[in-house]
Amino acid sequence: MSGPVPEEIENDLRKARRLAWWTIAWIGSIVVVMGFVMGSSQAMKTAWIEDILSMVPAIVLLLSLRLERKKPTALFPHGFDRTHSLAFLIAAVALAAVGGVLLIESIITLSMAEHVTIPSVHLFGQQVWLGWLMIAALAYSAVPPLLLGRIKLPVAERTHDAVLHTDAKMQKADWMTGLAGIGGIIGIGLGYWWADAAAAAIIALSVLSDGITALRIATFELVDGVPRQLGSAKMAQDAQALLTELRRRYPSSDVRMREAGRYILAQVRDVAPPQEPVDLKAIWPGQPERAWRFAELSFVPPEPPARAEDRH
Amino acid sequence: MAKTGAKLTSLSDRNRPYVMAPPIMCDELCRHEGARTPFSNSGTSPGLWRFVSVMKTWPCLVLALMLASCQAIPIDQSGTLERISEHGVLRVGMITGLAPSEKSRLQILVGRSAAAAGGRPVLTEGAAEPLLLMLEAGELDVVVGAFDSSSPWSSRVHLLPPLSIERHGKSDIEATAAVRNGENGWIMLLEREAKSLSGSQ
Repeated sequence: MSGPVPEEIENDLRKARRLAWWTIAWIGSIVVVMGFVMGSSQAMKTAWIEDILSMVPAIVLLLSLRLERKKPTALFPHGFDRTHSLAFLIAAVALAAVGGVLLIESIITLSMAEHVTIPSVHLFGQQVWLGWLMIAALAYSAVPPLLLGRIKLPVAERTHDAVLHTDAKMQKADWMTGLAGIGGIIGIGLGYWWADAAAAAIIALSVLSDGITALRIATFELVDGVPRQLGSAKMAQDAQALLTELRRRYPSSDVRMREAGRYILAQVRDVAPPQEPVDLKAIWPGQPERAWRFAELSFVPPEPPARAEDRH
Repeated sequence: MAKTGAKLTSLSDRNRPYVMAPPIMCDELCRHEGARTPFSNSGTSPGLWRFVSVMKTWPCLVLALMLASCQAIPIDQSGTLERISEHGVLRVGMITGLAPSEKSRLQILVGRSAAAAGGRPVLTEGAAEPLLLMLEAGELDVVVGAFDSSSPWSSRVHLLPPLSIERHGKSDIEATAAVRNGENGWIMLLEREAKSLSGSQ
C-alpha cells in the first residue's frame, strides 16, 4: 500500500496526529519550564533529559504519518510505508533510553545512600512541609499523560500503529514515574531515605522492559520478520489467520509474510501468478473493517530446478 | 576543641515541658521488643527496623498517613528528634568567632528548639570543619555559626534559612544553623522556631 491511506483508518489517523500534537505541546511546556528552573540539580537535569526523550515518539509519529502519504517516486518505488517501521525503531530506542536513564540514576542514588532533605515552606502564615506540595504537583502532572495514554491505546489498536502504541507506553512511563515519586516522597516523610530511589528503580525496570520489547519488535520488522502483535513479540493473530488462509488457497506453496509499517505484505512462492485479478479483501479472514491491513499479495513463480540449486 | 557542656538559659517564654509527641506516636504503637537500637551513630539504620515494624502492622501505616496533617510527617531518617527526647540532650556545635549579637540570637534559637524537642542543649565549641564533620557523622544534632552560602558544605549538610546575612565581597555570610541531611522532622522544627524568632523581632 502506497500513497493515500485506507479510508477506514483516515479518521483515526487524524486523531493520532492531533494526539501527537497535544503530547508535544504538553511535554514541550514542561521542558521549557523545567529548563528555566533546573539550576544545577543533577536529579532535575536527569528528569529534563527524560522529558525531552519522551517527546521523541510523538515527533517521529508526526513525521512518519506525513511521509506515509507520499506517493512512490522513481527513487522510492515501494513508497514510504516503511518509514513507519523506522519511526518505530527510533521511538523504541527513546523508550528504552528513558528506562535506562531512570534506572542508572536511581541505582547511583541508592549506592551513595544519599539522605534527601525536604524542608518546609511558610504559606499564608502556615508552616507546610514541602513534600506535600511536591506530592500535589506530581499528582497534577500525572493526569495529562494518564489521559493521553488511555486515549491513544485504542486508536493505536485500530490503526495497528506501533509508533503510537510506543508513544502511549511512554505516557504510561510518565504517569507511573509520577506515582513512584509520590510513593517515594511519602516514604521519605516516614523516614526512609531509600524510598524515593527504590520506587524510581522499580518503575524504571518496568519502563526498560517495555522499551526492550518495543526495540525487539521494531528490529524484527526491519529484518522482515512476520507481523507482530502490538507490544508483544508474538506473531499477530490476524496475520496468523491470513497465513493459514493463504496456505489453504495455495497448497504446496511457500507463503512468506512481512510487515511494512501497519500493513501486511504476503508473498506466495512457487505458484504461477493467477490470470484474473485477486480481491485481497475477499481473502482476508479476519474482521472486514481490518481488511485494509492486507496491502499486498505477490506471486513468485517456480524457478527452473537448475537455477534453484545454484542458489542453495 | 573544648567541651563546655554549658546549659543555655532559655530566654524564651516557651520553656514549657513540651515533648514532640506526634513524631514518635506511630513508632510507639509499632514498637516490637528489641527491634530497634535507640542510640547508634553507626551500623544498621533505625529507619530499616522502623520500616519492618510498620510493614508488620499495616494499620499503623494507615495511621501514620492519617497523622500526616498533625506534624507526624516528616519523620527523621536517622531519628534525631527521637534521640533528643529520649535522652533529653540536644548536642549543639557552636562555631567560634561569631559576632555577639548573632551568637545570642543563635543561642535563643538553640534554646527554643531544644525545649520544643524535649532536650537540654549540650554545647561543643570549635572550628567549623571539625564540627561539620561531626554533624555529618551524626555526633552532633545541629551546628550553629556563620556560613558562606556558596560553601561546598551547603550540599553536604542542610543549611537553614539565615537569621542574618552579611555581605563579604561576592559572598554572603549567613548566621544560621546546619543540620544533617534527611532529618526532615528536626529540620522542620528548627525552621518553625527560626521563623517565630525572626517574626518576634
